[in-house]
Amino acid sequence: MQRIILVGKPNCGKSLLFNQLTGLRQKVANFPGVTVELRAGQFEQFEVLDFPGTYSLNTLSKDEEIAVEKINEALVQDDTHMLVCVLDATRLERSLVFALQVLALARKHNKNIMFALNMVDELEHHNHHIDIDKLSEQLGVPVCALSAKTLKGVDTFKQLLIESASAQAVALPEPQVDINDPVKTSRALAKEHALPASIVLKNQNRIDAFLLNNLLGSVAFFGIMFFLFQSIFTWATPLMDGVEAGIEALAGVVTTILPSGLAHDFISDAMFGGVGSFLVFVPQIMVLTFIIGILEDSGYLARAALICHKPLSYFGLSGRSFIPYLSGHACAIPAIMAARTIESPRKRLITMMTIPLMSCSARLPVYALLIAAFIPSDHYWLGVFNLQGVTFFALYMFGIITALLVSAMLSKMSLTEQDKTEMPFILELPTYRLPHWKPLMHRVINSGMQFIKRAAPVIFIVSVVLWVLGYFPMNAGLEHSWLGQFGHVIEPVFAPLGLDWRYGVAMLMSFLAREVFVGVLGTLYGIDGADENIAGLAENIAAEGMPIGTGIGLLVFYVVALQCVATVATLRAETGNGKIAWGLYALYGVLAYCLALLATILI
Amino acid sequence: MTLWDLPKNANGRISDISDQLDVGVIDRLKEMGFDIDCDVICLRRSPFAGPIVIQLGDSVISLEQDIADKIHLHTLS
Ligand SMILES: Nc1nc2c(ncn2[C@@H]2O[C@H](COP(=O)(O)OP(=O)(O)O)[C@@H](O)[C@H]2O)c(=O)[nH]1
Repeated sequence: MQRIILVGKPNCGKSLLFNQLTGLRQKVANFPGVTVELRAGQFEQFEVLDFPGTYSLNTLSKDEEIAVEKINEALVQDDTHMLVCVLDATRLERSLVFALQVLALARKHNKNIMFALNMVDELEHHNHHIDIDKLSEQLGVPVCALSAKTLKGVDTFKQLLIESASAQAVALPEPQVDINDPVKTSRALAKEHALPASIVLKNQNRIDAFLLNNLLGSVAFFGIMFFLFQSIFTWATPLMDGVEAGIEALAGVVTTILPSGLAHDFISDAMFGGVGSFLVFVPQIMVLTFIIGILEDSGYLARAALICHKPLSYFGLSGRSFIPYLSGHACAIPAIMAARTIESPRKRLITMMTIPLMSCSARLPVYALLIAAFIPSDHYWLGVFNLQGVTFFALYMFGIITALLVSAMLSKMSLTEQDKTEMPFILELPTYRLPHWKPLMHRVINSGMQFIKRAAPVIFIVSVVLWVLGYFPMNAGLEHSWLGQFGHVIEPVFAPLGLDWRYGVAMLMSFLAREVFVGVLGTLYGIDGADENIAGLAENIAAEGMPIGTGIGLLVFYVVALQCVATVATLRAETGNGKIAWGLYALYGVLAYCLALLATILI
Repeated sequence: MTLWDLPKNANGRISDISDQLDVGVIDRLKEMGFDIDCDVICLRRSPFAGPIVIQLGDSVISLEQDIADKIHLHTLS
């Protein structure tokens, strides 16, 4: 199919234009390990490819390098008929620097090219008019003024696009300006055509005076972050419950049809129980993607990064690591996916590797159980703070501090080949704009689909393996199953922590998801529905009189250990490196064990 | 005087970009509009030596100290 490729600087409105051209059906191709995303859609008889926004063709980071490499690849292909470079009419000078680089490239490869001068609605708002014909003549490129938001000029643009893209011959008149010195030429052209900076930036600077104010800005920042955090918990919860109920209902229907026996148990426990439970994460991922999408498209994300840059840079992290870290307290999976907004590949990797240390909501039942079982409820620290509450708080802090320390350590090491380049902190603060629902919707749907596509295989394998180990030999019960027997064999490993085989089995099983620990332990203690009856199980555990050090050790273990197959799968997909994901699983496992042992011995 | 020394709301004019910076970074800065004799305004200084925010041409840009102190300004006469 004949192809049109769309390029442009970030925030020029390229995503919106792409969505206005192509409608509902889109394909997204990802490149593992980098944030580069290629979107493909259909416009009339053409395939439109949306390339990631890049600031320049001279690259600084691995992400940019891959993006530019993809542009170059597309340019040499015969199918590529046409390039469209999107420009932000309110930032003519900056947009032109990139556009002129692209123009030179198109001329070199003898491809047709067109400039889409976007955001003219904002120019009109300021009663400014750009002489398009003159600009077009100067550049030797057809220029189309349009607004992807109000759709003004989009029809004319489409017509012209179809004409030029169908044309056999490439007809580009010689430019009247020097396109080989983009910086100077852009400056001269901007002087002639552009809206003065003082008018363009007036609103933005006024809002920034508030949002970047040291006092008011901090209040706003915490307000927004609180809202974000709340929303992943509260908005996502009904959706997650809905998905869960849906899966349960489906499981109910399917399992009543099936005769009882092996197949029945496999479908109900391994399929619906194991694989189904990971679908529960999907709403959370989508809700977080939605909110981050709003923050990004509105322009606030760049400000948030700026506010957090300094404190986080002490630990080798980026200002943009803050939101993923915060989200990690709800669930590591959307948090790891949210790390995509971190522009430095190295810092992105470090952030992704340390997110699992944040105390996610799946740890809550485990913490609740162990705290109830081991920490006395009638003790007060300094006479005021209930010791159980203090322990809860301490566990969260312990996770955060460990994450920061690990980050600081990782940032001293060279991790993989591709993250040696360091992006300096040079951040262009975009204009504040109202986000448009179309690109946002595609992003949200895509985030859920991607998670399912990439994490499902690993989760499927692990749940089947754990199910088989816990189910066979048939009718033996968990204690005498292969898993139970294995638990007995490896009991010596857990003995130094003061734990017996039951805990070993529960810990192994909880790789499926941490909260499984509670359910399995309940089964082994002979308490049905321990998930709902944490207090009852806690009493049973407390009655055994294990030392408090053992309890603290277990808690510490659950703070640090990467006991979550969905997280490992997501890490593998997002880093594009299975070694990092599984290596991290092993390392955090060993670290957790050592710290737990230390706690058991010391306390 | 460097860009890093520019107080909030003050104007400056770029005199030089130090070649201590990586060539790639210098090129990027040039493309962003950092060029000799261009005017900048400092819009924000952050506490604890955090990044500064400046206005340059038609953009607002945030830079950390490592870069800002390699961009020299004409001393005001
Ligand atoms: N006023 C106005 N806003 C626009 C226009 N095109 C895009 N936007 C907004 O500008 C922001 C950035 O657009 P986006 O498509 O994400 O830019 P990209 O980074 O180039 O993909 C979003 O909030 C859009 O809703 C336009 O023509 N006029």
